[in-house]
Amino acid sequence: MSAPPRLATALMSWSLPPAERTAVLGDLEESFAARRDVSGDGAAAAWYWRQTLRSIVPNLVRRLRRRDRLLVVDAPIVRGLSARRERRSARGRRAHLSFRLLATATLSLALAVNLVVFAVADAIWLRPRPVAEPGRLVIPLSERNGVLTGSGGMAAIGFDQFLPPSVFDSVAGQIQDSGSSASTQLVHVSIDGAPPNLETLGVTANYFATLGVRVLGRDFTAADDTPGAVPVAIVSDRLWRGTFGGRADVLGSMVHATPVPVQVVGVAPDGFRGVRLGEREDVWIPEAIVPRLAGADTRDPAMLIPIARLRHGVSLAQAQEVIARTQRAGAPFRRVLVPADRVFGNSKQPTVVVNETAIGPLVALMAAFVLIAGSATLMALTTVHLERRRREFATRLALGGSRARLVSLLGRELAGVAAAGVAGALLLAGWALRVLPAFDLPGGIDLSRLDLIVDWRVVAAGIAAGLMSLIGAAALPVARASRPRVVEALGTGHATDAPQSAALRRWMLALDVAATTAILVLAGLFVDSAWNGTRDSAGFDAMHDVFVNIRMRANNLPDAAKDLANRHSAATFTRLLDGLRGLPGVTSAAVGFPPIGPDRQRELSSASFQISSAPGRSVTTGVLTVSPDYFDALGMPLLAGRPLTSADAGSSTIVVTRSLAGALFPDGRILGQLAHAGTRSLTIAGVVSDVAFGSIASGTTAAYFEVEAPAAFTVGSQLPIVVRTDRPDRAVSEITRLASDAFPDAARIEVTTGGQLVQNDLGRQRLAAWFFSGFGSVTILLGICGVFGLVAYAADSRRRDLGIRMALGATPRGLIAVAIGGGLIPVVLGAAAGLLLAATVAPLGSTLLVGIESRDLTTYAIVFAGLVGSSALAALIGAWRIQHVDPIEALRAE
Amino acid sequence: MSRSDALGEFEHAVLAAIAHLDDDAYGVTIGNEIESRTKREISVGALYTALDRLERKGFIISTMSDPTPRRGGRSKRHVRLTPGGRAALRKSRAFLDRMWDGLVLDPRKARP
Repeated sequence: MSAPPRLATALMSWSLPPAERTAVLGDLEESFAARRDVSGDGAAAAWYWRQTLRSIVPNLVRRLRRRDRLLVVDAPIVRGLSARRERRSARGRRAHLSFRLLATATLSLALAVNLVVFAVADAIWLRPRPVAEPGRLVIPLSERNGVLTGSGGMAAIGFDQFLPPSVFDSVAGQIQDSGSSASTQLVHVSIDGAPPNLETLGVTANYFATLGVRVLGRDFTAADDTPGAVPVAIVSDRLWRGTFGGRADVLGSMVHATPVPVQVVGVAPDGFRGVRLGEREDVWIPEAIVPRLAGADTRDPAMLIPIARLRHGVSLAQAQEVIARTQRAGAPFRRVLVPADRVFGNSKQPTVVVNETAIGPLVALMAAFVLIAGSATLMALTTVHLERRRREFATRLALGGSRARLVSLLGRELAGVAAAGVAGALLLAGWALRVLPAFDLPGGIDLSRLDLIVDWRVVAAGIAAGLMSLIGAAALPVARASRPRVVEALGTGHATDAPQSAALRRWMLALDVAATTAILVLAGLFVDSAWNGTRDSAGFDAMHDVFVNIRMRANNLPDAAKDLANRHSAATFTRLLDGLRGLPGVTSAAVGFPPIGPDRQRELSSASFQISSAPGRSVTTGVLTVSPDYFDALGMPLLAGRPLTSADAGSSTIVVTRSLAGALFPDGRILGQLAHAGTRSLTIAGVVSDVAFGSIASGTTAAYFEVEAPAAFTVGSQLPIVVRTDRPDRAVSEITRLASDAFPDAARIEVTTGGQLVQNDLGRQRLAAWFFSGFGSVTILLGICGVFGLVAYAADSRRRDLGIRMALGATPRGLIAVAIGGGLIPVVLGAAAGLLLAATVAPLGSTLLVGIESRDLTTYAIVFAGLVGSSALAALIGAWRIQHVDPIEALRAE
Repeated sequence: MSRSDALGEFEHAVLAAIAHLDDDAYGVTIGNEIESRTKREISVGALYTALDRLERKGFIISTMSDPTPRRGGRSKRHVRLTPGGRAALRKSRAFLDRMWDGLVLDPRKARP
């Protein structure tokens, strides 16, 4: 059996475009065999030669034309020649898969962190409010001593005087529910069949009209907003659909509700739950009927938060100027107009203005750092991955593939990674947003009261950030990979490290480590702050205390009956205290508010109580009225003098904290001295240890205490109790039961453990610690992956080099040390840069730090050591494979 | 019919052969099909030039098959008509039909 003529085959093969050789030579051979079978060898050979000679010219023409366009990146022959070797080998496939997984995970993590931050910003700042022209709605808040102290409540009758029609189209009001001192104005309308705890808000008749919110059914009328009117209500769309099945006949009908049946007259539009951030109202009722429903004195007008709509063409500044003119000179506070969509507040939290100047930019900056770290890791990964495929790319280009086609192929591959990364980030962010509100993070803005959702803005931001970071991370590696030195790449094989790409990866690693270090330092500072605050900065033994506050309803009884009721309450209160002392584990039960919490904070900023010992020496101080055993219950030791007793009740004898004593009488002679608070002269009987007043973070510890007998507290509307117990968490339910048995008609009974109080007080620090630790763990993960990848790849790609060194007598241990050293240099440089970065950025958040400086050396040192140590470990694992390098095999391999 | 869609005589023949062969169209079978029908020997160079051009115009797509021993362990380049290829073939035929419509040539001169 003869084969096709060799010379003809060689000529044919030479003339053909490389990509066509297999198919054409195969065809010729097949036809040759068929002809040989039929016509014999000679005829077949003659035919073969004829074919060759007739085809040479067209073949060469095709070959010239094809150089630029044919069978380039997708050509099967290319896959056959190079990719098969790279990709289909088990190792290539593993490398391909691990690149995709790592890159996707990196992108997902980095994006998810940013999406969570963006979702919070979206909920607070970006999402449009469901009111007409939100930019024209303002809420006047009161400001004392430069501190916004909450909504400056006023009666409706004062609206025209303080908010003149010359600048405002209309002014509506809603019951001042923020904070806790307004219990007599709070009312909960519970509708039968609806979920419990519906939030109810009393509003003026023009509330919806002023907000520009269209009500289904009818709006409130002036007649509805009179004290004796039939109780009417407008309900939320959520309640209407959920409880009433969206039935139209509900409108105008009376529904069973507590405390009284109400007539539902309208339904607010979908999505509207109140004008301030954090409001979740379901029922609106006219404010005039609120005192009646709350059991308060109906003769007093309700205090309202005004909501004003600026006239067209009137700016906030102009309106502010007009408001300033209406105020008396020398008034203790100043009214400040704040855009309604910047005000956060509801019946459970005090009003705060959302302009987080300290932590907002810091969090945004950190999120950006995470994205940078992620992009740097991604860039390093892409470089390594494309470097591995250098030979494949060189083959494609050698076969005539154009660079554009190669870039488009890589672009398509990376687009897949981007899509998977964005999808992963959205899933992660969705999960984080479900988990985030479950963390108790008050002390500012309660995240559980904001609608943290992945809406189209978040998705759009995710896709944009994903594409941007991928383009940013992949542009350089792709540009480099698409112009390999063809001859070199084909000659040296796939596993040789290109020096430029190694340098690029080292830079990327250093960038990643710098971002990681900065984030970890901040995380460390905030973790320390939260820890410090919880441990000892409170100044009292918070971990063994339970605080109770019984809010009484105001009674409208005549004075004689009031006396009787008070005496009855006093007896009940004394019995309750005895009952609490009898509970297992309870060592004492005293009367008094906790020294920290939003109420004390407000007192401190609004009352700014001054106490002085001598002219010119005056100190701003906190003050609490307590029962004599209060200090025992809080575990505050008496440092000097005598304890206060019941005999001191109502006198002007006080006990001061050590800080206050030091500030008033620096010479140390304190006991028996007189101090002056306003017109009162106070005698100092003793000194107790320092205690944080208002907030742990504020660092205020100057305070004094007066005593009253427990019974005297029942005249007020709140009965504050502190219970000292071994097991606060277990005691809560028992304490609550005793208190509600004793005062079944109380408006509200609040029971909080000291631990919760401290946690709430340190909400921001904990939020920051949580955020930065989260960021930190993500970036350290990215950083460690980067170090591992760098060292492992270097070890892998330098096998030949290492093999030669071993053959020349180097030990594996020595080579491992060299490899680790090479991997660690960028880490150390990056970490040093990161420390500098942190030292620059951390002072931004210094107001939030408790008991630690923003440039705390220990934290910086721990982060540096931890990062370098973990990187060294990752490098060691990466370099371990050097042990398995066989010099003979390495020398033979290429 | 736009200029880029126009088929030359040989391209027309190649496309028709591919259509006849359906799933079994590759260099050898296409060549045999044309030779058996036209009794004309065609060169493999011309055939691949035509296939190349047809693929560029989007009238055919090609895939590589597994290698076979009869071909010296080499793969076949299988080709298939695309919908565009079918349309071009149909248009080309209609174009010729219209040109032939009503035309009667002298039978004596027409015979070889």
